[in-house]
Amino acid sequence: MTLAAGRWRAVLAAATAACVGGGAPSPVLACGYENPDAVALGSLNWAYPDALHVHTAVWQAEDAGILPPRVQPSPAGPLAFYRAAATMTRFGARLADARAPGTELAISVVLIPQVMWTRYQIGPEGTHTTTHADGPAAGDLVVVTGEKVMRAILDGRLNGAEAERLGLLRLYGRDGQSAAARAVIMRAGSQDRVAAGASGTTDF
Amino acid sequence: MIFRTLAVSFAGVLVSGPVFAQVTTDAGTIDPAKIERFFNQPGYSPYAGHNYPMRPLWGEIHLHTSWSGDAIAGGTRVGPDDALRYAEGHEITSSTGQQVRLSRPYDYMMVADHSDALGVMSGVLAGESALMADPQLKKWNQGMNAGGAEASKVMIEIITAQGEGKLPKPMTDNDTQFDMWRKMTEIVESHNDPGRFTALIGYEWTSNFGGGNNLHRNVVYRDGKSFADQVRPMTTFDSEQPRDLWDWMQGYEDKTGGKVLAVPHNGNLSNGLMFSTETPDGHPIDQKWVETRARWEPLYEITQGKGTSEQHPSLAPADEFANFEIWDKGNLNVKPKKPGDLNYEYAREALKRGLKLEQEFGTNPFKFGFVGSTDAHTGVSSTEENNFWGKFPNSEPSPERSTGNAFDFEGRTIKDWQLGASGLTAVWAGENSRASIWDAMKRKEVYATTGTRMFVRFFGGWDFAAEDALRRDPAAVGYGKGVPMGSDLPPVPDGAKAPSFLVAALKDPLSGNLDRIQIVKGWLDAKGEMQEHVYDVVWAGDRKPGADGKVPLVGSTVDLPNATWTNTIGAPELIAVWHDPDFDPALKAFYYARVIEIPTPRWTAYDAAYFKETFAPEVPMEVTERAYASPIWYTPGG
Repeated sequence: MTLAAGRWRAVLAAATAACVGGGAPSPVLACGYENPDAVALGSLNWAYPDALHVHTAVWQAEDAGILPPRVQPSPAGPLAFYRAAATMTRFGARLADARAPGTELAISVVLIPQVMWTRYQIGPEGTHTTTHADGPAAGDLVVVTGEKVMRAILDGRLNGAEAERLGLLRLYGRDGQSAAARAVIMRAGSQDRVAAGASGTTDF
Repeated sequence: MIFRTLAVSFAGVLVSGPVFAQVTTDAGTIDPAKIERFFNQPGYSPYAGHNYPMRPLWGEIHLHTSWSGDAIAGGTRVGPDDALRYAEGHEITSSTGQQVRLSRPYDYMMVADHSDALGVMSGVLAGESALMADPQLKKWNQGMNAGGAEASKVMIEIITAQGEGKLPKPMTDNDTQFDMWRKMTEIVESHNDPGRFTALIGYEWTSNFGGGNNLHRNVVYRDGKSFADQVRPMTTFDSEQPRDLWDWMQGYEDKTGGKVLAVPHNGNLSNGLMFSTETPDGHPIDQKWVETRARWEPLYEITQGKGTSEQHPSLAPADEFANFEIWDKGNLNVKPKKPGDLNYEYAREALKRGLKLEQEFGTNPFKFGFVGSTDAHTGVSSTEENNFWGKFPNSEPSPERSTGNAFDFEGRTIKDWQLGASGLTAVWAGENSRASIWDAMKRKEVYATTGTRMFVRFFGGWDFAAEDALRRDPAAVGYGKGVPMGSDLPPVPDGAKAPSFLVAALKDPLSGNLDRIQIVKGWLDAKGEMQEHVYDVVWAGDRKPGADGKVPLVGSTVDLPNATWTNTIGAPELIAVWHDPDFDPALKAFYYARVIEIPTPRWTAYDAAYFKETFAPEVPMEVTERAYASPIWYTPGG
């Protein structure tokens, strides 16, 4: 079930509006791929302590050559969004094949700095992927990371454990949940090519 | 030995009273008059016995931490304790996980979190006992600390409760705010180390009167925790009217015997309200208002991260340095200005208008000195161009801040690049203590800089002479023959033709050389009209003033691709004595010094080089750092 009070992005907008004092950062009404001017990246740090450390780790990894270098202007607009969505869909397909028998797990991945959410519901029947989701549902394990990190994991240039060690990926959930998620992310990353959608479904 | 004994004895006599008599001892007869002359001679140390400040103390009085509601919602994780540790020179981790440190420690710091809901959100997160007694807040604390969806659920619940006016009582309760205030003062107190580092107690009263019209004030305490804890800080839940804040200040002093002052800021975002001749609710100001404002607000924050409010270029077209870090699109919510608003937002206009109001009311409500501070909401006070940490965590260093938004209100945006790495306040205090710093602020013996740490002396008098500028001890001659920044000129002595000013500046060792020193004069002419003129007083090199009287620009050595510069132009120090060539003893006037550095790379240039990012063509990549010394006023017959 998604959050009863509406979209995560609306939540952040309202949170910003609710702030006392002047000059709060911009409310988020769309993800950064749709409107780069409307991202309130800082708000993530409130609900997910030190989530912004991931953002720093990503650009530092770019500078260190661990991730591909930045391009300018930063990716935005429909093409960038579709690429991100395709990346997350690919990852969903990997998760579907990587899930352990009997696994039931819900993972919400937020890509930063664009604050684009993707929700994976992993169950016995496979994995259902919802890209550009409203936000995490109650009880979801939340992963904060960057699109480049996801692509590096998918391409086998980085594994989940290494990404976490480098601060490129942070997990927020209960201990057991996090351990299960780590395991499935590791397996998903280490797989060879998997036909997208082989055992999963996708919603945009 | 005998002589030494006698000398000490006579010294005591001389100090204790003027009754002298010849004294005959086995060493002979001693003439007290000769001894008096002997003891009036300066000692070997030129500094022994002096009673004026010898070095400016550096710091700021406007830093927000995670105890401000908007800061924590914007991602700030640095609280007041870490913010003060950082100010003392320690390395800390910023909210984006980066190590950060000042190039040099500050001498003092005031954390000025919003008094509205002070520390409540961080308190819920941290599980403050005063808040955890409420079951709803206890539940929220658990949810926030669970992270993930639980935390976001809490956020929704808080917002819903606020929208429905059903926030748990402790969140809006005066007692809660007061409890958090006492915790704040406890933290601040633990960092206060007189002689080494002064942690001032203070808060920001955040009036956005009418919706985003910035009437904010920072309240600065002279006192320690035992005084500050006696009275709950004023909030805008109490009132959004400045006059009510002044009443609160009076009440505080009456109750505690302590002392406070208030510092307005960001007139540039007030949409004409900050220095209006009407109250925010539209009534003409009156005698009481004028006197009360003059009583409580001796300073104005002339520069900070959200722009510099010295003077708007459209109001001073002849001032080639006025167009500096200007934010003039609207108020705090970027709501556009009305025609004429600019006239009531900038310091120089207010200083001039103050002369006019003094003529009408007998008191000048805008007789203020200058301070600079950051208003950063990151817990990280940063004003160095190569070490700039933005306004909120989303504007901490990252490749995205070349294009990111600092603010977005319904599509009306301010870009990150428009943020300024400014400002600081230098205080000419005799010692590094709360009382000494506050007293210097009260007497306006302070100056603002846009982040650089240049030394500036500025004295006014009636008999400074050209040779005074050749001395190596400008303070000695300055205090000896005149009054320092923030003062009133003494009455015109017989025979004096015009006031003279001794102004000296020494570069920041880590920043650019000095281009020039200017004196800005404002006055009321014979018709009572406000006038101003900017005089180039002393400058580096052999440049000659043009036909318009202006000294040509100094040039630039900035190497943008490498974000560096050389001090091959400009001068490391400048000093001059200046006489007002246009003085009319019948006209009220003020004078302040503005010291301009040579161009150096702006923080945007450092970002471009570090992140290898390209900024848009309209983004300024150089900056001419500057200092604003508090004015000296002249009043006919004064």
